[in-house]
Amino acid sequence: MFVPETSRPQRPTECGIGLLFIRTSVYDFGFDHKGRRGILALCTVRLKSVGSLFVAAALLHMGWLVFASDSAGRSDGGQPAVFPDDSDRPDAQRVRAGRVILDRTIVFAQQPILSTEVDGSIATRRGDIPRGGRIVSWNPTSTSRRPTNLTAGFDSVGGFDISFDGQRILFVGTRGDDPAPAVWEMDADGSSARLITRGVGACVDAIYLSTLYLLLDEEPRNRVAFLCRQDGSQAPALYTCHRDGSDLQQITFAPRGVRDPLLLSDGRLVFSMSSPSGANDAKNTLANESLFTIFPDGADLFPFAGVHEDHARRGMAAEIMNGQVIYVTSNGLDSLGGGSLVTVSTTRSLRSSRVLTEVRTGFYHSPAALSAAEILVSYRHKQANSYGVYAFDPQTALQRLIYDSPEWHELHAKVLRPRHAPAGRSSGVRTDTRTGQLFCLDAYRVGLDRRDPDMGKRIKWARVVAMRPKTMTDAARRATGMRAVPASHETARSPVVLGEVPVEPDGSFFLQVPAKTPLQLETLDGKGGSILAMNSWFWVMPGERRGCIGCHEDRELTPPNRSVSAFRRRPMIPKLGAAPVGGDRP
Amino acid sequence: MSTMQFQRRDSPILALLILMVQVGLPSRVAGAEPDGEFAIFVGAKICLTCHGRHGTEDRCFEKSEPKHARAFAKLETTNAEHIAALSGVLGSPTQSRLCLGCHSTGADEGARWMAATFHTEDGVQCEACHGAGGRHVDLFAGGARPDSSDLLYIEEGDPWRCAACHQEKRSHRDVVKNGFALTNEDRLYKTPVDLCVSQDGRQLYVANEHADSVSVVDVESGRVIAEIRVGRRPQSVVLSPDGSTVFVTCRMSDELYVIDVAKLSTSWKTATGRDPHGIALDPAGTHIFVANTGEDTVSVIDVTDRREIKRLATGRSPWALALSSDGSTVYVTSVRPRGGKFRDPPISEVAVIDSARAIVTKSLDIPDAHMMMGIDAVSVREAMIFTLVRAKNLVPLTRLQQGWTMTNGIGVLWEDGRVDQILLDLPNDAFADPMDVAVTPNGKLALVTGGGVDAVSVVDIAKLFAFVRSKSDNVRQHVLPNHLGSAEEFVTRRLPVGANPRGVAVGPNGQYAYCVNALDDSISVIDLAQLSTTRTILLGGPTSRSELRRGERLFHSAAGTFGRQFSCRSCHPDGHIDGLTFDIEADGLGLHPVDNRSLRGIADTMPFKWTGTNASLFDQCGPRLARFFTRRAPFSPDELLALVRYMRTIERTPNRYRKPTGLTVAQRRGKAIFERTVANDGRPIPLTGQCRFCHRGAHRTNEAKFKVGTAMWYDGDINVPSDFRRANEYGELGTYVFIDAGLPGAEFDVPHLQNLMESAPFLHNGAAATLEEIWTRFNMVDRHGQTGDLVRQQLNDLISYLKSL
Repeated sequence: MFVPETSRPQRPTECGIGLLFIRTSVYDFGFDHKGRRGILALCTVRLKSVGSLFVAAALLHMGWLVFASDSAGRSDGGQPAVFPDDSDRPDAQRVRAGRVILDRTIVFAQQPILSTEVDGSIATRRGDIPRGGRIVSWNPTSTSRRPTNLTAGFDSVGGFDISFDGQRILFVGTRGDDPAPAVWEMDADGSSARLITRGVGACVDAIYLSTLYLLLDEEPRNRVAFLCRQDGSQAPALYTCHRDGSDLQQITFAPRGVRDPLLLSDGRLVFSMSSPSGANDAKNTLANESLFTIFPDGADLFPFAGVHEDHARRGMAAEIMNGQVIYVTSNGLDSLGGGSLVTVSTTRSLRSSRVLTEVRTGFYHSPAALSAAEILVSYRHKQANSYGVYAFDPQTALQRLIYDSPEWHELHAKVLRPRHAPAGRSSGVRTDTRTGQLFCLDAYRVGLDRRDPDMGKRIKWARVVAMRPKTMTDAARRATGMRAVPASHETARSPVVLGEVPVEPDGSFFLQVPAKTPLQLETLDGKGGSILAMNSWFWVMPGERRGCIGCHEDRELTPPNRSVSAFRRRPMIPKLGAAPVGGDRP
Repeated sequence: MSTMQFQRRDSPILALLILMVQVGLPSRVAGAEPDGEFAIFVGAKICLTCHGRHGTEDRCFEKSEPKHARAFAKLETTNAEHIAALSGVLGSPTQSRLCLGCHSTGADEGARWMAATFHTEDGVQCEACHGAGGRHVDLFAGGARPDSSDLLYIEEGDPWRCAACHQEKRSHRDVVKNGFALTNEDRLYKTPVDLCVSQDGRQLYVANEHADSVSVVDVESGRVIAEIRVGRRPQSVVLSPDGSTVFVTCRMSDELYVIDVAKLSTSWKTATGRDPHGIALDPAGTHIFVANTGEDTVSVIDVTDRREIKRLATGRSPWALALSSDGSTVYVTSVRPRGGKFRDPPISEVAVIDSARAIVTKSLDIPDAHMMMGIDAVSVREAMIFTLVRAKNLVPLTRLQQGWTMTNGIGVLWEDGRVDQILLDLPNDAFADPMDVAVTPNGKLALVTGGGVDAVSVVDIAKLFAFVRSKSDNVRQHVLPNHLGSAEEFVTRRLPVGANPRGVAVGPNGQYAYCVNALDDSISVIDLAQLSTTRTILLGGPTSRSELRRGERLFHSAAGTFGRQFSCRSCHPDGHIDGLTFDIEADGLGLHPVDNRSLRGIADTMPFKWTGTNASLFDQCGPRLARFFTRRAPFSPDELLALVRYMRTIERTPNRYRKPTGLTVAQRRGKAIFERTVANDGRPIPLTGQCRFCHRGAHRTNEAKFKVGTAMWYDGDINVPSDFRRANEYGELGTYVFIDAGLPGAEFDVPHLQNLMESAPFLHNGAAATLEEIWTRFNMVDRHGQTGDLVRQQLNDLISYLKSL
């Protein structure tokens, strides 16, 4: 049930006695989520109900110490940061002087606990923005302990991003009579909110993009990207548009949607998308999601992290300051998608994953860059109701509380500051064509160091399968050998065989395929039997010329420098029924 | 009464005879080496004897003569210096054949063909347009009726002849209208490219390419204690085994300079082959081996006799040399692949020289690699490590992710001759332009400079060797050379250094290493124990950056490319070529493979690209470059201007096929063929069939596009009639399409012919391995000039002349 902020019951500004509990060990004052080292844990209990009295008693029973009372109370229930003695830390002076971690304003989303716990589900939240949420800013050094609501007047807000100059905030929100979440931009102080998208569907998240250069454009395009569901689709796709909302372009075409976009400093967009996992997918009810990259023009889809790893949902990636990307891998236990933190290097992202935290004690959510040593992250202990904002050191796995309100989830915290604009992109995507090209250098290449010569004897055809709206009759589908529709796939679309092309004797082929369409490839033998088939989907953008080295190529392998036979022909258009029908699937 | 007054009023023959008596008969004066076949230049004074203001032909002089005569004087102005710099002219414009081509007369033929009566300083004279008049004058003076058949008459309908010079040149406009001027900084930059360390480790000897000098640096104080003038564009420096002498190659003056370390001065110098780069000495220090990059040889120089005693043939464009640890062998790397079958994978070579006998004993093929610019010996393991680049020129340049365009790495040459190639790149974080390698004396570390990424990679040799040896033969052969990420196994550190690091050297005790930062005018000092850069030594160049310097930095930096895979320099070392043909996406995949073109002297040779698509370098290096090559944001307008201006200043090398005195007789015969208007059978050659119609002016280009019948299969999406192809299939790579007329994509830019011989292979796609093949294989219908009637000797003469341009 939607509860507008103005009508939501306000908590009293003075709530009587609040107790601050601390738990320490004799070793040091670090807070280790795993409890492996001496810890400092903070917990505030407001003695305003019988339940809270029980909690306080339980804490005392478990050995927690009452450190201070907080009788001032705050309207938002937020908790100030209290920190251990960090004299060895680079920011020790600041910590000692002000007992605060940050001297900069942070911006985060506050999501009312009730709204998400009651009617939230993963599926719903992927497509909807949390009701009653708001974006707030808070400066730990300010005298005010109360965060400033930047989205007053908005009924709910979704994901947001801070502009590269630190002056503006891009966010998704609903306001007034229009129930569809749209993309907005406002100044960093919450003023001058202006609508960017109008009537494009239900938006979920939005980020700023670096400059995009098209060949024939005189001026570069400063665009934004946003996640949106159009036409009732359950699969959010990424769209881009100018900052005035014009020139709307869809840039992802994953049948099951994408989520959690992030712009890397090298100009690539990272997002989460379903993919086959290394485990048996049939045993998992939760969709396996890995991280992929594209460029802001939608071209050059490439796996980034988590591909062929254990079954999990991966998302909420953040680039931190030492060439690392941190993301959250979730097993579905947390309703908000929280999980453990995993780090990969931006260079060897497919080979460098390292788990930083585990979910034994709590859930992590929406990491973001903070400093060279630490990141901002939301954290919720398993026993706690809400997420708070913490500073987390990936090297030591120590974390320190920055802000927590027991009645809100604090998520998506970001430091409000200028940052380097990621690298721009010069694009080859064209607007005057509806097709792209696709080539494979060697379909017989089946592994890192293996080029199976026997494949050459078997692979004769390459089949192209597209995910398209159901327009063909069942009879036509049977006639063209269309594959069965997996039950997990949306029902409005189904895979359709576009046709086959012959594979050259050297294993190469060169195709012209429809752009902006989910595609799969399948290699066939001379009788039309399937030899290898893709399990994931990819797409090409109009005018894009996309190549692969081979089937199951190693993603760190560069192509051998050879001129292949396929380029001695024009790109071939897959022809339905070109390959024989009737071969057996392996 | 003066002679001239007499000429005009009375008999011109008499006046001419008097003048000849005064100055000597033109054809007989000292300095001129005429051949009976060709006339010599006699100078305007002789012409004006008869053709003065009241002579038989005075139209040339009424209006333009004063300006033409002053053309040479313009080369002595300050503006001319700036224009020359923007035209890639090395040295004074008054000595430049390119400048003299339009500002004087007979520059192409040279001093050998000029009589004493001829003065270059007289500017553009009668013979500039009408041809050398020596024979005409001889006949006239001999009393015969002047035969003017060998003189050229300019008709009203020949404006193209005048346009050869009278067309606006950007280099001139940039200076005259846009106010470009060389700055003091431009003249003072050092641009260090190589260094060596004294035996006691207390001094560094640094080759400053731009300053034409060698700096001697005191390591402890970090001060330059001497700067010794050497030849043009010093490249490599090597210390003699006894530490008493430093040897320096100078690539533009083709010399080896020898510096006495004690006296800090040049002791002697000697000539080398063309474009010398790397140096190595035998263990005794009695023989010097110098890589002559411009002619694919190694000069062997006897130190005692101070002269070259032999030249050894090597792979194409030899660059770096290193002595094996036992001193028995000199290894010579090359930077360009040898010529092979069209669109076959490139193969470069490492030549193996027996240092004692000074003979080439072996040539090792290095497949798929080129740009092997540095090599050093691993003393304790009997192996050599060299730098390399593995280009993907046969794969369409459609993407940069995951090293699909250019990869950078090192090679290990084992004692048994086996070669392993391993990349230093990481996925999307390449180590662009590996320039040099130095191995520590204990053989534990190898330091590789990354010129495009401003870093030094520190390789743990033990880990490298163990990593390589742990792999199967198949992996070593097929995977490691193409695998990104392997570097994490053995690269201990990537150390940031200054801009565009090139040469690297390790001190004798292995405590410190030093690398020169060419575009910082500095040396980074690397503490090998800490593996960190401890300090920077400045060589005294300007600390500010001029526009040209900024452009030069952009040219050499890979920062503008996605994943830092390559810089402009990666394909254009020394502003020249890498010898490869590439398949660029813009023309369609698999279609229109294009030969890489040299940037030396590229100013005023528009349009650009082989198809002539880009009208200017701004077009060539602007959004199109970003779109089809770097995939990043294009250069900003300021960056682009700086880059383009720098590219225009990339210097032409001296033409080594041309004698200082001018054309040889054979070359003069070739020039006559080049300029002929009549075929061997006496029939006139149509204008478009004459070489000089397209290849005219000082640059030998009319800056236009023509269909010259050189279109081949794969040149664009040629709509070839179905008779010539099967089922939508193109013909064999590199085969010739006879039916190009009227087909789209068959029109090509007229290339300039400056230093043509340095640019093999030839034609737009590099299909012609030699100049001969242009006409013997690819001009069967005489559309690329009428050459079908030439006999073998004539073609040889023509080629000889073309080499001299």
